[in-house]
Amino acid sequence: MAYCPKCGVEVEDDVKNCPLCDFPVPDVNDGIFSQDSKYPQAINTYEEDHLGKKNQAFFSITIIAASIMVIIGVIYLVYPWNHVLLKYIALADLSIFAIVFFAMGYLKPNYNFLGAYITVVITCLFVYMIGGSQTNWFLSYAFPIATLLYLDVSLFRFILKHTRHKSQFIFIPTNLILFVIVLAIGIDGIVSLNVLGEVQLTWSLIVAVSGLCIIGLLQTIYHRIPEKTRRMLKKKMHV
Amino acid sequence: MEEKNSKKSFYSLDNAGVLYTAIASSRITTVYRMTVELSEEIQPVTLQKALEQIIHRFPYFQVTLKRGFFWYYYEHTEAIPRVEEETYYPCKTMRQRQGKTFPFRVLYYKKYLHVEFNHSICDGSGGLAFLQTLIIEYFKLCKEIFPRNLGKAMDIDTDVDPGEFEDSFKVYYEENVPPPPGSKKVFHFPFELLDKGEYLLLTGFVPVAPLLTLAKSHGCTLTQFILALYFESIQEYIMELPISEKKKRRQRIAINVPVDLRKMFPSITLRNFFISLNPEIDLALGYYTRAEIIEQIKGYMGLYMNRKHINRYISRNVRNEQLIFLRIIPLWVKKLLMPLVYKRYGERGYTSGLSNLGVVTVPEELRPYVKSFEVFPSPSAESRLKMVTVSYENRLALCFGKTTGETVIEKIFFGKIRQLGIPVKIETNKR
Repeated sequence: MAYCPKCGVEVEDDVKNCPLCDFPVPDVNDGIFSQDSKYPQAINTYEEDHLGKKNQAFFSITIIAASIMVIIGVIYLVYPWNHVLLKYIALADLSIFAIVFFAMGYLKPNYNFLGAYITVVITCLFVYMIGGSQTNWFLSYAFPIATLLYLDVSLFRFILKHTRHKSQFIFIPTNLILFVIVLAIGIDGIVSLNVLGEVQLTWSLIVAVSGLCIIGLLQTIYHRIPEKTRRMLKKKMHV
Repeated sequence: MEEKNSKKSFYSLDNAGVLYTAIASSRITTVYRMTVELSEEIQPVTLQKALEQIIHRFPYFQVTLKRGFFWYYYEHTEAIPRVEEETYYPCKTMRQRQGKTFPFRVLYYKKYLHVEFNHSICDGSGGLAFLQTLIIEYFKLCKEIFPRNLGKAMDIDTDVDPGEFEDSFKVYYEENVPPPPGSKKVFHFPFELLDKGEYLLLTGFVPVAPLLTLAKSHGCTLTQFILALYFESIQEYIMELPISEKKKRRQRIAINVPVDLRKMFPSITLRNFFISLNPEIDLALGYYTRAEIIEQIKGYMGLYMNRKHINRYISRNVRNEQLIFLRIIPLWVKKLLMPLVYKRYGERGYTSGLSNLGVVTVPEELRPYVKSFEVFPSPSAESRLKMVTVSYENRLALCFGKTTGETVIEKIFFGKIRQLGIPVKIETNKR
């Protein structure tokens, strides 16, 4: 019989740490256990159970996407039809397929998200290359805005992860407002850089200041003003 | 041997079963587990034979879930359930394959025999009757013990009584009884959930006698005393939260306590027949001492545990099931919406659950071979930690089932029992 020295409960012979308080249980059996653990090493079948259905769906999508590609390819080679349009269709097919793949969550969330970003950038690049425009809109607008969105959503996810179990009425609005502020400043910056040739923030500053005020208010409600500051405020305000 | 009654091929779900099948998902599997520890290793072949021998006595369990257009229903199947060695996480979701799967599974591992039931087919009381019958048959085959007094187990040579599979909710339903007051939002454990498909069990074995003496000295029943300790543990946990979570200190704690209605409303059904009460304490009113909690629980139970009040719940539930505009929604829409509705409203009214299955007995002759009984609740996402208690041979099993890796509540809870000078033995499947 083994006991936890900290909380005093009897534990199974083969445990190394107390299941309640995680305190190390001294090895009274000199490492010789009866190997009589009550439960087997359990297998989680959730992934397996769900993978079946997901694979079926993904398989059908793959077939559809592949057949579209084949059809487009044949038309491209055989008929002297509108080649630019065919290229657009093929590109759309491929990028939708890639986005669906990432959305189905076969990889870890971070990789899926990164993959979606890369797909967007590459799609824009190809659209730019197929279309062949006078202005370099890919480098001046598409790429910076896609990157900005990627970074902004990453920030949003990071904060959400750390505040998930705190008051939802405070932290979700805070997070959303922060997201909007970063997006506004970024877009304003990109637009002004392209139009004026320098970063000159205008309307986004109004968004930022008012947003920060709301965030400050919400956080003050949550954390409350420190006792010292409150006393000081009371004195100054004569209340 | 084959009774005429067992030819009945169609079983509509009972009132609770309707809900359970609609909300079942890979996390909220609605599967609960009953475990028996025997003195010797289980012989799978004998167990399979025993299961085959008893299953015809339970035709209402030898069924398979089918999709109707509006609701699920159970259909009799001639297939024979198979015993399996335990390899997966407990209370794993039950996939419904037409004609092949049963609403229960029989598992074994070393000296342990587990029966996992889908809650849509029966409640703890019905499950225990099946388990006890299985144990008796198993020992008949492997030890040739023929007990005289079967207790709550079924005699497999008798005929099936139609009362065993009736929906007793409908029997006791009265049309014009007003519904009970709605539930308010209460404190929920803010613990991180485990991965889907995982489920942790933790059992604390304690001797019954000292706890019973303590309960008597407080003038309450054993269940009420354990409930009070559980309330106290949750309260203590909340009080230890950092000051920034201050708002939580003013919430209510409510614990869902299922009441077996078979004593109150005469019935021999093995299907679901229970109603849950939600005793609560409101921390906004201040800190509760143990005596105050016990008074609160005793008062609540005294006020609400009677036929008249319980009937309000029965009538509300049956009425909801019979609402015509709910009935005509196709099943696939129900299956889409019900989990969301349940997530929002179903469990907001209670923090956790505590179900007491009372004293389990086996026939005198089998006592040396049956070591312990445990029953684990079905997994749930909102109340991440639930408890079932069951006592056998003067040993009380306090069985926690949880969808979180945190052990802080159990630590406080068993710490309290240790402080009372009562020894505790902990067993868990956490590695």
